[in-house]
Amino acid sequence: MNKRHVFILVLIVLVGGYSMYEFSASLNPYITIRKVKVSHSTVQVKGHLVKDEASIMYDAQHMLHFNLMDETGELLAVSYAGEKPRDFERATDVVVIGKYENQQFHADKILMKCPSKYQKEGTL
Amino acid sequence: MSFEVSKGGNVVVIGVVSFYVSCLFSIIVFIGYLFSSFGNSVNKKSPWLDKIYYLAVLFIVVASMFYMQAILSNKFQYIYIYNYSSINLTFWYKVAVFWAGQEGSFLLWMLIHSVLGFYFLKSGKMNRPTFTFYAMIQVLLVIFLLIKNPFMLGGMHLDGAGMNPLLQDFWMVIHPPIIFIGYSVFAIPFVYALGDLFSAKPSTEWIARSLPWALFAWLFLGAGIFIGGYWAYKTLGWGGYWGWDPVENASFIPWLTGGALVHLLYLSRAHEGGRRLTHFTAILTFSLILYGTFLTRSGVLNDFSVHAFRGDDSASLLAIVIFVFIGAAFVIFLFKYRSIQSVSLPNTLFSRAFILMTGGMLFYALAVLVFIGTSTPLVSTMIGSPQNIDITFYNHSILLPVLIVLAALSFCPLIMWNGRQKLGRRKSFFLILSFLLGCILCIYYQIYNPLYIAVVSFSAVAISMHLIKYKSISLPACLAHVGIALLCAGIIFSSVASTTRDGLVFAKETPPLIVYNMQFMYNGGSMSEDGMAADYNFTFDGMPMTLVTKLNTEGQIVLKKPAILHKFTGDYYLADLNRDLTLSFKPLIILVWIGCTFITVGCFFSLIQSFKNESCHITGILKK
Repeated sequence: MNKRHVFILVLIVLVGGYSMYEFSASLNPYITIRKVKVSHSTVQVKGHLVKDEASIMYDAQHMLHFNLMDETGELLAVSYAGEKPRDFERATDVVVIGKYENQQFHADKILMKCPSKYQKEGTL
Repeated sequence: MSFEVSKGGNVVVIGVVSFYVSCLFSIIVFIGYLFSSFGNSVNKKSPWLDKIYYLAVLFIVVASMFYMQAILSNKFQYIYIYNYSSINLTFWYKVAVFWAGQEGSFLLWMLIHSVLGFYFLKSGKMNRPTFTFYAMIQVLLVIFLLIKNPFMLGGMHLDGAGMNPLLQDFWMVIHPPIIFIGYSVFAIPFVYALGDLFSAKPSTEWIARSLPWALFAWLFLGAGIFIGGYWAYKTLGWGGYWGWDPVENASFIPWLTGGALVHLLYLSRAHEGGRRLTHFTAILTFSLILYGTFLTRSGVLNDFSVHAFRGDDSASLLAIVIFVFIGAAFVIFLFKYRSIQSVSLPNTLFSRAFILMTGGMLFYALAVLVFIGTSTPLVSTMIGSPQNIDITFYNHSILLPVLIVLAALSFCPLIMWNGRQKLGRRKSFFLILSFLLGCILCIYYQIYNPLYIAVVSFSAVAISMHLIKYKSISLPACLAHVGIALLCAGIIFSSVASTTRDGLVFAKETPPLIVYNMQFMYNGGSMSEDGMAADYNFTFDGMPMTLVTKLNTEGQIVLKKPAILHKFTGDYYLADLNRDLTLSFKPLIILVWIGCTFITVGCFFSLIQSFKNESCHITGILKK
């Protein structure tokens, strides 16, 4: 082991350790609606958007509310503190990332899957 | 599949037939080369095989021309054209339909690959094993095209479904072809590296031959990525230019290993060290492009990415083909790599060989980080507990490697092939000054996180070191390095120091608001003449800003473009988020675009230089 090797090794351990810490801190498990309701950490869940007029709405605090349903008919009430994504009503499947607290799923982020005539794509 | 012959059907049939003939000929050439290139008959020429290849190229060119003609003349019986085009598209957007979707973009890839193949076969710059691998990639593209066939016929339609309005933009028209040129050209270092493992000569010729093409591919892939970022910034309205989406990362990872490849090729051309790694990197880069193709086109990431292509049953088929191909390439490398002659690098931190290797390894480190993040959804799904990765992972974990990159950049001009230069006292003082300038700028923009301050200050040091010592490295490399430093500083300023004023609401008669201590006023809206867009005019600090909303034929909103006011100190970015408006200030974002331009221009000049030097390096090698 000469000086160069020690120097490089120290750098690798430093960067590797820091990255691994960041990695484990930013993992979001992808789980079913049933499991979401007993989870406590940040998770990701997919469901069909329930499309009747009444269930997609804003409350007085400008929170967006909507319901997701999985294949078994299990419902999840979602609230989102952001803007309603464009063409939200047209989405069939919605992926939400966030936490389940007080009978509500608080989404930080929404991903939509549109069946519309426009295929979703951006940079190739 | 049915071949309906409709009006003008004969013309269409020429396109379809040429397409299949070209596919067939490509396969024949590959098999022919495979059996005649290895074993006893290595040096035997087979002119008829080459002629078949030229015909394959000719037919794919003809097929593409007819396909373009079919798009321009609204042949909606093709499922692909129906899906992406419509009668009312303007000429250039119709041209862009060619590469707007999966099937067409594979055809474009095949076209570029074939035309380049024609050049290499004609000029004799590839030996037989090398060209065999080149033909093998062509067969791979044929398989892609048969899975995702642009010539599939559907029912008759009077009008198409239309192009996604997001893609109806100048930058989006040129973005895919640029990216695909990058993808195709990375095949060249790949086949040279594999072909070299089978040639009897010492492994230096492939390095001199690959370098210009590696630069070429890196230039185009980089330019494509930068254009994608710029387009996202000025069209999407969320205010950023990079989202760490798996689809973006799929191009970014090969760009990073491509950067490693360029540095390692420069190293290997001048020095006998690190040659095995250079081989490996050339093979890896193109493999990563194929891996990215798989990630974005098979639909495996649909629940993780906002804009992956929609998936279907072809996913598993695509996966098998791609992984067999990549696997085969690496098996060949594993069996043959001991034949590559390589010596260890000089045992010091201060030699040009070592700093080039460092450059390569740092690109690798970044690539590994992004690769791990991008592959997490896929790998975790396979082991049974799907996990996604939050983008904070990228934003945080990339900081330390970037700091090391900037530190290495700062040292780079001081280190010569043998030993290092000393800095005078006055010049060291200049460096300390630029470090302090970086700190002061950060504090001015209220950035207090030490890691961010370090990135900005190290960028400043790297830039001034390159300015002081511009003579000791080549000018193109100097430009590209300064570009990287500017880009890093620009990213920190424009994202970390960005401020936002939201909840701005206007009605017709609203009095001017005071935002950022300047007057912000609404001057009313207007519809465009064709009824396809609505403009909302504002005045901010005496300058006009216009929000454009694009509508479809049914009058529904399809796209809300942000309005951007460019100032020397930064951009004012006005976005309509449906309920109210937000106005953000993005300080010094111009540094990001200048950085990208510098990298591209530097890369371009390196490319010219290396093409000029190629022949003299080759003669040098042959004389030995």
